[in-house]
Amino acid sequence: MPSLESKQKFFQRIILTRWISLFCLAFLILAIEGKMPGGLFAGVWAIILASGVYNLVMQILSRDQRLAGPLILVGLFMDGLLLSWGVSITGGPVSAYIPFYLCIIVTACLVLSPRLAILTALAQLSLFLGTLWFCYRNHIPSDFAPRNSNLFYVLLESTPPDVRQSIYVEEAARWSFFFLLTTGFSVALVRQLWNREEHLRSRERGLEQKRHLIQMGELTGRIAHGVNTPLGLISGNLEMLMAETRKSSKAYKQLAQIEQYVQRAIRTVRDILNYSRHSLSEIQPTSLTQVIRAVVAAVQPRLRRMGGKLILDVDPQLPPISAYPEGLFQALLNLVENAVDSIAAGGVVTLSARFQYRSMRLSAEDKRGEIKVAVRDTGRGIPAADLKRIFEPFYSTKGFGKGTGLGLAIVKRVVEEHHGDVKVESRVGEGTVFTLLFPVGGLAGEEPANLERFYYNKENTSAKESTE
Amino acid sequence: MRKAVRKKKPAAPKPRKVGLGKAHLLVVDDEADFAKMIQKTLTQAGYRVDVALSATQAIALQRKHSYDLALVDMRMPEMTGLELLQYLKVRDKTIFVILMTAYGSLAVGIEALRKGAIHYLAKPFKLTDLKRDVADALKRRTQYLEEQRIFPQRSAMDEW
Repeated sequence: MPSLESKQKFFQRIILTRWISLFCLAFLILAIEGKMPGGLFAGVWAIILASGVYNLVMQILSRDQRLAGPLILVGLFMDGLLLSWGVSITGGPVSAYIPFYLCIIVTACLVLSPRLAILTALAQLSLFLGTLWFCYRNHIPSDFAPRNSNLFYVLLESTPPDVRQSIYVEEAARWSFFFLLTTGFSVALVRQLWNREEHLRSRERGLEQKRHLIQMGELTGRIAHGVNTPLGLISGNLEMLMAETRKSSKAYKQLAQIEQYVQRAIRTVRDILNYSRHSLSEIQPTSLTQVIRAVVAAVQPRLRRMGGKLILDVDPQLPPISAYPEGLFQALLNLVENAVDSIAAGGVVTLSARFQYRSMRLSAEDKRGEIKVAVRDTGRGIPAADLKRIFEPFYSTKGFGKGTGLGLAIVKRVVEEHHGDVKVESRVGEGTVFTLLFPVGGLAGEEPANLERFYYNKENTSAKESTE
Repeated sequence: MRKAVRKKKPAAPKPRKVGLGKAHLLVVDDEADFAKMIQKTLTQAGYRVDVALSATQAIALQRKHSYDLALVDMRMPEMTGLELLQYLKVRDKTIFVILMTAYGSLAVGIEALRKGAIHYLAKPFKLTDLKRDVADALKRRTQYLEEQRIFPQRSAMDEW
C-alpha cells in the first residue's frame, strides 16, 4: 500500500488533472454551443459547475494528509457518478464512455488496493443499474436534460411500450458487460504493475539491509578486537603475577579482586557482542549437529577444569532447519554452560538431539516434525520458586558480578524467534532438564540452495560420542 | 609499603616428551605483547616456543624448523588465521593448529574445525586454559602419529 504522503500527492495530482479537463471541456462547449441545436448543453454546464465546486472543496480538504485516503475513495466514486450522469444525459453509446471509466478504475487501483477499487466499481455499477431500473419503473427519463436532446429518451419515446423493456434490459446488459470488462482488465493490469514495484522495492530493501549488516559486523569486529586484546593481556599478565605471589599475602587478595573485575569486564563484553552478533545473523539452513559440535568445543576447557563429564546423544541424521545459526549456538551454549556451572566434580551433563514427528499430524504424508534438544544435568537443581522467573532478563541467582542474568533470556528469545518451545523441569538436588523444540521448516529461509551441502558434506560421525 | 610480591621459587619445568625432546611450538600473533606473554607462559610450562609476529614470518620460520603445534591468531594484517592454517598444513601435514580469535563466533569456530584446527580459543582466555588445550593438542598429536604409523590411511580430519 502506498504511504499517506504519496496518497496525498496522488490526490492533489488528480484534482489538478480534473481542473485542467474541466477548463478544456468548458472552452470546447463555449466554442461549439451556438452551432448545436436545442439546449443540449444545459445539463453539461450544470455538471461543469457542480464539478468545479466539488473540486474546490476537495482541494481545500486535500491539505490534510489523513483525509487523503478516504477522500480519494469519495472522489473516485463521485467521478463515476458524474460520468454516469453524463451517459444518461446524452444517452449516447456506452462504449464511448469506456475510456473514462478505465481512467477512474485504474486510478482507484493505483491509489487504493485492488479489492477496494473493485468495490468502488461495483458500487458505481449498481448505482447506475438502480437508476435505470427506477426510470423504467416510473416511466420517467433518467435525467434532468430536455427530452428532445436525450438520444436514449428519444429512442424510448418512439418505441412501442412492449419493446421498451427489452431496450432497457439490453442497455443494462451492455453496460454491465463493458463495466465488468473494464474493471477486470484494469485490476489485472495494475496488480501486475504493483507486484513488479513491490518486488523491486523488497530487493532494494534486502540490499540495504545487507549493507547495514556488513557495516555492523565490521564495527563489532573492531570493537571485539580492540577491547578483547588488551583484556586478554591484562588477564594473562595478572594470572602470571598471581602465580608468582604468595597466596597468603595481602597483594594476592588485591590481585584476586582485580581478577574478578577483569573477568566481569570480559563477560560483559562477551555478552554484548553475543547479543549484537545474534541480531546480525541471517536465516539459513542450519545443521544442528554442527552447532552442537561447536558448542561442545567451546565448553570443553571449562568442563575439563570442573572435572565433569559430557555425554552427547545426537542423531547424526538430523534434518537441517532454517534458523539463525548464531542464535542457536548462543542459546545452546548458554544452557550447556549453565549446566556445567551447576554440576559438581564428577557430575554429568547430557546433550541430546533427535527428530520427532509432531504429535498433531494432518495426514500420513504430513512430514512436518520438530527437533527436540535436551540439556540434562545432575546438578543442584532450581528451586520451584525461582523456576518461574528464570527466563526473565536480568534475573540471576549467580550473585553480583557473576552472571549478567541475560543467558536464559537469550535462550527464550532465540527459541521464540524460531517458533519453538522451551520447557524446564527441575528437582532440587537431582538436576535440571531444559527441553527445546524447534519446528523443522518452521521459518521461511532465504533460499534453500545450500541445503544439500549440509546433508552430504557433513562428516558421518557416530551417534554417540562421549568426551572426557 | 613493604614489597609484598615475593618471587616464588620458579616452578619446576616439566618437559613433555613428544617424539624426541621438548615439543616445539610456534605462536603467531601480530600483537607482540600478547605473543610474548604466551611464549613466556608456555616456556614456563616446559615447551620450546618460537614467536612470529606476522604470517610471512611464520612461514619463514616453518621453513627452518618443524613445529609440532602452532597457535595462530585469527586476525592478522597479511593473512587471516584460517589462510595461514591451510598454508601451514600444506607444508607440514602433521602440524596441529590452535586458532585464537578475538571475535569468537560460531561461523569462525566451525570453519576452523572444518579446516583442521584442533581447538579454537576465544580471546581473552585464561592462561591455564591455554596450557590445558596445548597439552591436550599435543597428546592428541602423539596419538595421531601413533595411529598414522599403524593405519597410514587415516587422516587428521577423522579425529573429531
